[in-house]
Amino acid sequence: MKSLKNILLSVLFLSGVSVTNVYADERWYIDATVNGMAGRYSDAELRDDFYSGSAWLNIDYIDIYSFAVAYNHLNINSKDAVPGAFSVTQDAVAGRFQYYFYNDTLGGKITAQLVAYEISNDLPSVQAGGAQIISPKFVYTNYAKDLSLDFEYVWSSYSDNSDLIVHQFAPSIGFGFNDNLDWLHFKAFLIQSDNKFLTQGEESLVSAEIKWTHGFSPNALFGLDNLFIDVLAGERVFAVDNETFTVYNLEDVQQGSVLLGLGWRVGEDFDVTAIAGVEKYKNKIIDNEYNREYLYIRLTQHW
Amino acid sequence: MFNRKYIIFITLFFTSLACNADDSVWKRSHDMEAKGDYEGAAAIIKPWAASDDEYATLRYASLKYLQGEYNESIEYYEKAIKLNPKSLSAKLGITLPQIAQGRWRQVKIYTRQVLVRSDWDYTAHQRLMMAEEAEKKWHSLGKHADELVEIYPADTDSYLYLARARAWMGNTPVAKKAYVEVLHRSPDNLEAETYVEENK
Repeated sequence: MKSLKNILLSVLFLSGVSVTNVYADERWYIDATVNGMAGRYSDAELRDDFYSGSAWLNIDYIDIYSFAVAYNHLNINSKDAVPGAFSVTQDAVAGRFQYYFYNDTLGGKITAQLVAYEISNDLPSVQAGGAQIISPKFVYTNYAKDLSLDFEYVWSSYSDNSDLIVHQFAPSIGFGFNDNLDWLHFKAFLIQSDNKFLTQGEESLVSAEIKWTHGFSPNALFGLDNLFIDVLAGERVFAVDNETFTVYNLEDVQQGSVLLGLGWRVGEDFDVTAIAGVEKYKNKIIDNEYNREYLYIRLTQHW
Repeated sequence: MFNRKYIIFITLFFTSLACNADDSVWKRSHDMEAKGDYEGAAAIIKPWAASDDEYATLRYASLKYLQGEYNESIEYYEKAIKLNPKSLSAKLGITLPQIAQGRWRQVKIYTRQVLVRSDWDYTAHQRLMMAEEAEKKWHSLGKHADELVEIYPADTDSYLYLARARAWMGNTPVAKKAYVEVLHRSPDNLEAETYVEENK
């Protein structure tokens, strides 16, 4: 699977080179995103703080298909002078391919998506280390764009240090209302582990997420374009979020989260998104409950 | 000699019959369409659309759009464009099923192709502005609508697009002025009434 990383890095490089050649053609649409995230662990016995940086490149061919590549670097710092605590550095590369089908019988667009990740880190050998992840997904959106249904499966193999396979099933449904200025999105996560000793004694976890997105009318306060609130309840571990290319492989058992996001559109081709969030975790091995508080900023340029 | 005349007569007779049959097909197809039977109107001309008859292909594509069969409509409009790459009818026609499916980027491509040949084609400009609005390209839409109101000063829709673009860009005075122009042309326009009322 090391070849997967090489392939994804090659695609990232070639995509970057080709951006300058293809952006002028109106058949190709390119989005380049950089984002940064930093936060701290409150009441955690082992962890202190973390920072993360990512770059994504998405290339879309006139509503027919798109492909994206992403790179992420993450550092988690441990508490000083705590026996058993250790810092972790991780690099992840991801690739995503989407193909769009238009089905008149169903009255909507179907997106078939495949995402692959290659993750490497310096975790000690007693824990789940690097991973290879494959995730197919189907999304249905009606032509009126006020209904969305999707089903996602994620197969995660943590085979570098140990033998662990994690399955994630994540169906979701979304509704648009108020002329689609508002969206409610519900998502369920069913996560199964085949090695509970590496998933803090948990074999099967269930959680649910609700997200409300509001798009503002002209002249909104602070020039806002959109606002979103996301709440997660239940438990999950080794979860994967393909929307943001995020894998929660270094975290303990997540027991809920809440986040507030604000979006601005600067001109017509530049977006800024800022998020503040709190995630609740429990290390079930040492029985330590703590919060991860973070700030996130994302900048996207569209061509 | 007799045989030759006979052959010519027979040939002309059957050619005439064939032409009459074609005319009858078009009439029946148009009659069915007028009655709302788009499926029947399309089915009767399908053999001609399946061949390289340009008009039948265009008409079949249009009737498929009216039936809500957008993929087949696009397929036949694409065929019509291949048959006649200069056809503005086909390039404007294909944008209708594309709009219905929300393929805004493809709409932009075809409307711009029309505008290359016909600078101020009203329909192409309107559909291009629809795409710019759907993609929230407010700066492009505003600039575009600004040009359109100069070329088509009596048109309500161009003023409406101008007003929306300026409103989204936060330029309330210009947006309000454009909405007032909308009300002059369409006094019952609710969107314009509401905006002007809210921004007195």
